[in-house]
Amino acid sequence: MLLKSIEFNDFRPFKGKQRINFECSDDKNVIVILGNNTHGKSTIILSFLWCFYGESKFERPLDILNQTVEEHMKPGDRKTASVKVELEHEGIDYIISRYQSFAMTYNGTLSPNESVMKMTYTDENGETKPCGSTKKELFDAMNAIIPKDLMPYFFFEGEKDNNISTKSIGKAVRSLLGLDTLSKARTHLRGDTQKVSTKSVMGVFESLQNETDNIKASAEYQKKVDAENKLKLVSDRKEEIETQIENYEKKIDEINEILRNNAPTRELQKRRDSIDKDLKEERRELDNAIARYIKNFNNNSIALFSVPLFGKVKSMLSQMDLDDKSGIKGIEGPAIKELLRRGECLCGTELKEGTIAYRTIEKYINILPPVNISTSIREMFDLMSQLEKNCVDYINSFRNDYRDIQYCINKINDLEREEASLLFELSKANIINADQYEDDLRIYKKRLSDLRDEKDNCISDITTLNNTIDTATNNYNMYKSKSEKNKENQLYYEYAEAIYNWVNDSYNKKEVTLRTRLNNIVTELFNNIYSGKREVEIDSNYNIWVKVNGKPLALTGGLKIIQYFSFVGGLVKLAGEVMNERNGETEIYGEEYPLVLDAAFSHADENHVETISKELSTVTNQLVFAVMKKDWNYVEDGIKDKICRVYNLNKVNEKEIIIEEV
Amino acid sequence: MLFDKEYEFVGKHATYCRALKDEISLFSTFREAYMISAIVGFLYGTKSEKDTTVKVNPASILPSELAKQRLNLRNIYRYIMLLEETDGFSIEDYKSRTFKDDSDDEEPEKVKNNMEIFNSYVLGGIEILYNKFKDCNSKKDTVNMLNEFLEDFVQDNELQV
Repeated sequence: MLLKSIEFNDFRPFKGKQRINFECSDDKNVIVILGNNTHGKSTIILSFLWCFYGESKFERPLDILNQTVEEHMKPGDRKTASVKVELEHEGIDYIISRYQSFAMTYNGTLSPNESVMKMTYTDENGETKPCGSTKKELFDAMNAIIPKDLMPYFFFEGEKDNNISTKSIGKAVRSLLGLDTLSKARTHLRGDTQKVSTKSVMGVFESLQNETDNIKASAEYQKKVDAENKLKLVSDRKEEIETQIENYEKKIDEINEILRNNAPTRELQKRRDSIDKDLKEERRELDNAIARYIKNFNNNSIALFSVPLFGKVKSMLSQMDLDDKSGIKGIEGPAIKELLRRGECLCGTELKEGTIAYRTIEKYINILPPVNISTSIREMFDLMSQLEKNCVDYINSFRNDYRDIQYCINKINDLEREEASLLFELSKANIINADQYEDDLRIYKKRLSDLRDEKDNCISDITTLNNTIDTATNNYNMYKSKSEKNKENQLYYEYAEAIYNWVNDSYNKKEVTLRTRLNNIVTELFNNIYSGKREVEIDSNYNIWVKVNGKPLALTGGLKIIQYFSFVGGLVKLAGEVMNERNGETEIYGEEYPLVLDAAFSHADENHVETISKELSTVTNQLVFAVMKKDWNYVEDGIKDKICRVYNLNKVNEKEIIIEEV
Repeated sequence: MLFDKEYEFVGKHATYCRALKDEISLFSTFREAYMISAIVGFLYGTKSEKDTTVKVNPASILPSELAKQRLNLRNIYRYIMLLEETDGFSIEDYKSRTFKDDSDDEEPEKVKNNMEIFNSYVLGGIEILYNKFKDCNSKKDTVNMLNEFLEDFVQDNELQV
């Protein structure tokens, strides 16, 4: 691409139509635009971008229409500002125009319309044809000639203080590489930060992967398996219980049958038990009666044995001579002697020998036994009367007792006979142990009841477990489905990661390669301009170091300027190479490119200005050099032979600049 | 005082006495055997002497045990002393033997002789009862035998009530 001309119409400071012709010959490829600060040098350079891509990077980006024109507009007036660039690319002539119309409103404000681009080319028949009708078609056509991202390196606005920020170098390199796309791809895929950005492709797929779904699915599956295992156990147990219930019911039926069949025998057995009990009772009663009988004999039979003697006793006693003296019943002579010996009567009266009391008591010795036995005989009669009565009582009582004994014996005999008869009947029957059967029956009934309770519990458990299984299965399917989606997302994430790694590797390799190439070009240019041998190094962070023997130099204003222009030159040269490489050209410089440059030589000495200009003219096919008038002489010395045309920017006032060819 | 000394059945009488008490269950204690045997022996006019031919454990009755039946024993003693016919005895002799000998501390020999008479009836009675009940093998047998003995006694002595 080589520029042929640029034409302004009421565009910013350029009132009316003003044109710069860039057409050069092969040996004279430098166009010089002279202008001091604020004289529109930057406007000229940035107007290419506005024309080609509609992007306004001016200081006041909306001030497209010339201010003088605007001031003269009346309400309802319409004016149009435009830039038209003619260029040649790959042998074809193109005309690119951009217009923007403005209307003055009735309230005195300027209303801009959207800018409109036109792009035509002249075909082999000399006919002018549009490059497209839609914005996209026009953009693509323009981008094929000079990509938007590379515009800044061919249309170099420059830096006012000749400082090169690492940011701008990095950005430049990335743009040249086409790494912006890769960078955007990297950002899009992963984000800029160390951690994966949640807004990036990888971040989105990462966030879509919910590990808890997997865990939950596993947990639900485990729940389902556990419940199924438990269900099997409970179901098995239920079957077991049902079999046991059946067995117990059968056993109970059998026992009931046996007991029903055994009922008569059972009655006999019961009667026998009753007899046995009665027998024990009667035998105890007999033992008691016998004991009573014997005891009665031991205690009371003396009366019986005595009475037969009483006839003779009474006969003997009646022959005995009884005196009238009355003794004291129960007291005999020795007792009286004892009282006298003690000297005290039972009533407490002192019994002193010779006293009346003593003598009164003493006379009883002769009327009491043994001196006087009348009292004893009388007592004996009394006793016999009593014994005769006792004898009758005894006879009655021993007879009663004996009757009781006989009754018991008879009863026992009866019971024993009945028992013998029962035993005989029982011996004929098939005797079973009904008590044992009834005990068994009770035990079986209790077990049956327990088993039925357990079976009910099993049924309840089975229902619960089935519900648990259903719920777990549903949950499992839900989480599994989510989990499968997770796997899909994981796969996408891995794809995105792989693409990211590929892009990143490619990015890094390309960046290193291009940085090295830039480094080489810049070094060559630097040493050409400097006329010495210095090492220039662009490190991975795009810091530019000028070194001697590996040690960085502190850059003075002059060296700084050399460094700056080396970089600019290197950049445009590299950009040209890359452009051709992108277009598939194998030969470097297959296509020609211009460098439109606002060159600030403020801090450069005259020698360096000369060499800088000279070197820049070699790195590009068309050098449009906007310089300050004060630097012009030195520039002219360096590129005198190459200058094709010189324009001067004449500032009429703050709102109007006139472009004049010198 | 009468019956204030320990009494011992010895020899065969000890055996009889023990059998009547422990095996035949006729008597509750040796004391009852002693008392009832005395009157039975006298009623049936049977005396016996101490048996020294057989060496067995004596069946002893302590004075404290005898004391519990002293009244009955003294009455039986008096019936025997009164009715035991003794050659040459006047009514006055019977009177003294029955009521005075046991109180006369000055003539202890008389009481001793009297007790020998009494105890000879005890031994005779034991023999009668043993011979009567010796074949009883159970309490029921004993009761039946005793009842027969009593009923016969009642019958024989016309003690109908």
